[in-house]
Amino acid sequence: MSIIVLLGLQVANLILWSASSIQTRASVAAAALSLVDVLAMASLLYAEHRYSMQPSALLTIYLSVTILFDVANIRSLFGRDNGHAVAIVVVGVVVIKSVLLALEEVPKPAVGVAGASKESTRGLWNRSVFWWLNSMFLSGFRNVLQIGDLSSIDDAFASDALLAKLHRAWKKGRSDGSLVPDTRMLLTCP
Amino acid sequence: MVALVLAPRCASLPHARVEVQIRLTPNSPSFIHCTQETGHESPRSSQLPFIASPRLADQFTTHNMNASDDDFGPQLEGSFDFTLLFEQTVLSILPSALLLLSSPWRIASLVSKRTARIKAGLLLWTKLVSPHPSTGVIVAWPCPVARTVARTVT
Repeated sequence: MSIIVLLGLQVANLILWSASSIQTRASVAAAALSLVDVLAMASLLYAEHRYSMQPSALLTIYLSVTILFDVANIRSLFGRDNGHAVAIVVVGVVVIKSVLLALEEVPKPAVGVAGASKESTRGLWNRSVFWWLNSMFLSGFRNVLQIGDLSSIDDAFASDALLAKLHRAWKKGRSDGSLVPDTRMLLTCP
Repeated sequence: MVALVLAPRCASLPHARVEVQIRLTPNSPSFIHCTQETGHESPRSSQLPFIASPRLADQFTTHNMNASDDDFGPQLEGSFDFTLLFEQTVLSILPSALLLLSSPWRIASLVSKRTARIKAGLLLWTKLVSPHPSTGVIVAWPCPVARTVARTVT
């Protein structure tokens, strides 16, 4: 239920288009490019899965946008006289892409990364609707929240990193030792 | 409409059987065959060549949807829909090309930074092949492909 099925569907799509009676100038090119795209997606998916804590934003955006576009394509194809066979294949493509999109939202089993914030391991859609906060809200609804109940903050927002940066900026800053220009420099162009 | 065209031409032939052969390619002659049945004699027939007017040809070809689907559009003429050419270029080729162009850079930056090493577990195999890792051999190729791409880009 995944990339390999998508590959098969795109091969079927290319074959159907190359023999279709409703072919346009771009049909075969679009189908061939979609097929090559599956290979790029597989490579990207593998690299993102192995080397990044966060689920892939690039894949999520691509999948979300193309699912929308494919649905428009399905509607048009069902309106054509000889487009039904291709339309059914594209329906399959949309189903598989939705499964991939859902799988991409599943947080990876992070091995050996203790203390990572929840936010940094969640998918793009999860973060854009702040879904990862729900478990905290739920525990706050049931009990009184303690400091220990809160998960650690994302590295980018942690004050430790900012303090270290400010220290560096201050050290190599002007000789008058004024804090304000250095702070302004640091915050405006980090 | 064809009958109206024929009526004056075949008026001189009573009891005529009329066959019309219209060629829709531009400027190729079409023919009207008029055959007159006259009892025992062999049928008298005559051919009247004419060039089908472009407007006549248009009326025949618009029944074939391809004609307007091959326009860029974006709207399919006379209906609430995009043309297929627009969908295939803007809604399919464009995002595909963007992903194809951006994925090598993304893979290269991921491989060079290595901010994390996640085990290739059940989740990855589910995404790539199937929930059962024994079929993983088929799809072991993304691993070398990703490395080669990373090496050539960096």
